[in-house]
Amino acid sequence: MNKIKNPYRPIKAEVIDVITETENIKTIRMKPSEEISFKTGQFIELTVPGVGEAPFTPSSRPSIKDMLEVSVMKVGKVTRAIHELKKGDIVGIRGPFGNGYPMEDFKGKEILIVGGGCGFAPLRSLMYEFFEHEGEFKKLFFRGGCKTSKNFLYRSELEQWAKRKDLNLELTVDEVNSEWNWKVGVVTTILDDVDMDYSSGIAVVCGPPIMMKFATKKLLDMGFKESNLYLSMERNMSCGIGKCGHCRLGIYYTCKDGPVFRYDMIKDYPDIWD
Amino acid sequence: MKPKVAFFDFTGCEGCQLQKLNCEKELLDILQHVEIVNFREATSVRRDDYDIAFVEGSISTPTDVGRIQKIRENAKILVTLGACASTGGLNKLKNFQPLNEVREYVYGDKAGYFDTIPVMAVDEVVKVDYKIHGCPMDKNDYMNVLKALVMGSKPVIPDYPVCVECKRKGNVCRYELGEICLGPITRAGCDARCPSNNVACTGCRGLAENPNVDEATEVMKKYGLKREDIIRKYRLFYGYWQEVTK
Amino acid sequence: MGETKTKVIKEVILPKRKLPELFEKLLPDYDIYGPVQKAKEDAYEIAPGVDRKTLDLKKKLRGNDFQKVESPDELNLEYTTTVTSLKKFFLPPVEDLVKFELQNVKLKDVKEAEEQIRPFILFGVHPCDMQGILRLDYSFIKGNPESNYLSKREKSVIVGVNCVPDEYCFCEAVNAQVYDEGYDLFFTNIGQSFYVTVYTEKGREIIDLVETEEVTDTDVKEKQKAIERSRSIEGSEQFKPDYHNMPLLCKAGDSLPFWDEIGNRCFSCGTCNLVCPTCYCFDVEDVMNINLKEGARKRFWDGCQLEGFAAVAGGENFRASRTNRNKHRFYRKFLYLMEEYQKPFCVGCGRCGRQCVADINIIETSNLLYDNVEKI
Repeated sequence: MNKIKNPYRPIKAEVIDVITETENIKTIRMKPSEEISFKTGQFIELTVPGVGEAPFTPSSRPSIKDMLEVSVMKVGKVTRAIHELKKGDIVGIRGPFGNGYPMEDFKGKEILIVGGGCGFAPLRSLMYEFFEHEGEFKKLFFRGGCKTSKNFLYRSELEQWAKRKDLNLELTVDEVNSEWNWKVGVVTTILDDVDMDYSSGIAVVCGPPIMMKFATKKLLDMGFKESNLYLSMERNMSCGIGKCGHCRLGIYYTCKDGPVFRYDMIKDYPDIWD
Repeated sequence: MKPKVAFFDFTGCEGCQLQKLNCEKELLDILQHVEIVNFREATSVRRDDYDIAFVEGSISTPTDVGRIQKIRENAKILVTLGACASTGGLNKLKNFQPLNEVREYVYGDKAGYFDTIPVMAVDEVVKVDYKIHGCPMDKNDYMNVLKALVMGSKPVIPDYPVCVECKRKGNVCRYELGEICLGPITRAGCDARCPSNNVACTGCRGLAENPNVDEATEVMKKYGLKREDIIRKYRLFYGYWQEVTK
Repeated sequence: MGETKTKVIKEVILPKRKLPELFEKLLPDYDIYGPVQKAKEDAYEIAPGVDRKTLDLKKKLRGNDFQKVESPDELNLEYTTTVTSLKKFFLPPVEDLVKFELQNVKLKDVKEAEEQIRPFILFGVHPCDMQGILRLDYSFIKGNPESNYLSKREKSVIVGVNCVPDEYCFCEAVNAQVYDEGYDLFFTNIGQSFYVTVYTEKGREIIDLVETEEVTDTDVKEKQKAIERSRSIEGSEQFKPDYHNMPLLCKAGDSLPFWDEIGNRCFSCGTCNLVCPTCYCFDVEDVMNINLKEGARKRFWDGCQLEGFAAVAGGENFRASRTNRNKHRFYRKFLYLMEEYQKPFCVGCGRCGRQCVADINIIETSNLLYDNVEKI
């Protein structure tokens, strides 16, 4: 017996860089001891041994197998410890887990990406994937919102993207507390000028639950189909293999059947937003 | 650099201090990780340059107030040890009686020499970073907090009821045995020590997070307890929480 | 394991006096666990409203737990239910998942949590608990088979026995009173003997260790009578809905006010989850030794009724109210997993109701749902 590998055993990974993004977000670049191939939107479990484990969706290019990056907001015990990590430290990684974005279903379509706050992390990886397959998607729109301009994750990179011809990008903040040449207001206020056919277009939403809730409502009002809305659901994924129960969402385990769900799959379950 | 730790005691039985010294097996390991700079019961060293202050006992005299404020100023992290410091513990029983009567009962005709104030938990006077609950505090609980602090991580203090640990242990519910138990509303972390030794929970770790006290009262009534009996049960260790002891 | 074993290999009669001999022959190769009366001593202070007589009966019928035994004399086979379900043998309350080695508080190595388990026999398993194990098999084998669970499950031999039901039992109503699925052997208590049904080769090997007798017509009749007795529950409140309709009822009754009344009573203590044979949720925590050089990642039984269960590090709690948590537990059993498994993920053992200090129980909840949905 024991042909089955222990699913809870992490592999080692070396921290090769730590980038301070904002006041409370750091990006950790790691080199895993074995190659890891992940689909954009899938997540990994990152271990700081002795402290614990927490789920993160890599924000790096899926096509790079020997390096990955996660952007981590300091919110709890494990993320606090991650913020203490230094170059050369060894951490543990399990995964990738979950379904990831169904890139095949996006091909040839007009796509609107709506992001909020730390939700930019998975979306960055998704955007890389779009850029790498330029021409396979009909039209790309990115709408991003954040609480304050000072804490805008990946701001300089996003501003670079704005120059791309294959992307229509708009950003907004609730509060301006540094130089800011974009819009002001919540993200749902910058969706109306998206010039695409809502009834056939795809919308991908990733952000804090409250933002996802209002963005979903807005997108449905605009005419997007429930089955064309792709939501990254935040739950406390722990085991990653659909056992521990913490991330259950109706008949699904977010860790196994998600974290990306079409709205029509989950809309009838209680407690989807809060 | 080893963190410097100090231990202080206020009003209490010092049982928690004893629990610390009961960690004989682990004591040498602990000393590898920390430097003790102030511990009245164990060393003659007295320094005020500590990082972590462990405080035992309740605040019950005007002098205590000044002392704990000074400790808070010196310490980067302040941890309370045991029920007296964390919730006021048994000492809070004093607050349900006229202070003068209590003072006279204890000190007799010398009562005038001893100034007293209503008993307070440490966090009623200064900010507390972490609380180790229990009467006495649990050795393992203390170890876990110490380990986390040495590792620079955040200690996990259980917020759920004792029943969780009691069920993990496979104990027969005290209610199944016809006994009143405060487990369903008391904070866990003791590994259900009392029910595992055939004694009902008396609530020494204080209330769990968001406890359903109304239901606990209903259940006790159903088991034939009168209102005053129920309040007496609550007052024993929940004295810090006015709502349940009125 | 996991598969349905409906084929009867053979049937024999085992006189009870032969049981010590059987145990003796098994002990060199197996650890044997069976129901032992755990609650023997009186409580220190019995509450004034408690009736002494029912208390003693409760202790005998309900105050049992599966423990390691050396002789059949230790067993209390005339029991209603054990305190803890048998999941503890396959998913222990606390278990190491991996071990860490650290150097200067930094990761040095990750190791397997080696654990040697001897083959073991669970002697005296009731049908509800057998069904509970089969549901765990489904959850732990399907999708991502879990080595920790499987390594223990593969070492187990299961000997069933017919039960002594009480008013909290409702296995029949949820189609969990099944006598021919999952067992290696089934012992029906027919007085001086056990009527033994052999379902697996492993079971045959075991029963062949001692001399048995042939089944007579009287034995067959006695067996039927015994099974009938295990079925009838005096004074029990009937579980009203047809279990097939439970998913529909859940959906139709989601906004009924009785859910709030249940929520108001609930302690959120997790007892129902922890004693449940089909609740397998767990929490994970890293525990370091005091030398801070070695440590283990441990898992602990957790429960969806605890307030923090669905909270994320960022602060959101997706099931912050007691009402929603109670619904979640119920839906997991009668809607979510039932739609997937085709049978309720509740086996009617009644443990949650028996041990709920607030007296919330599945029969009552199901009937409230049934009665109130009818009214809509």
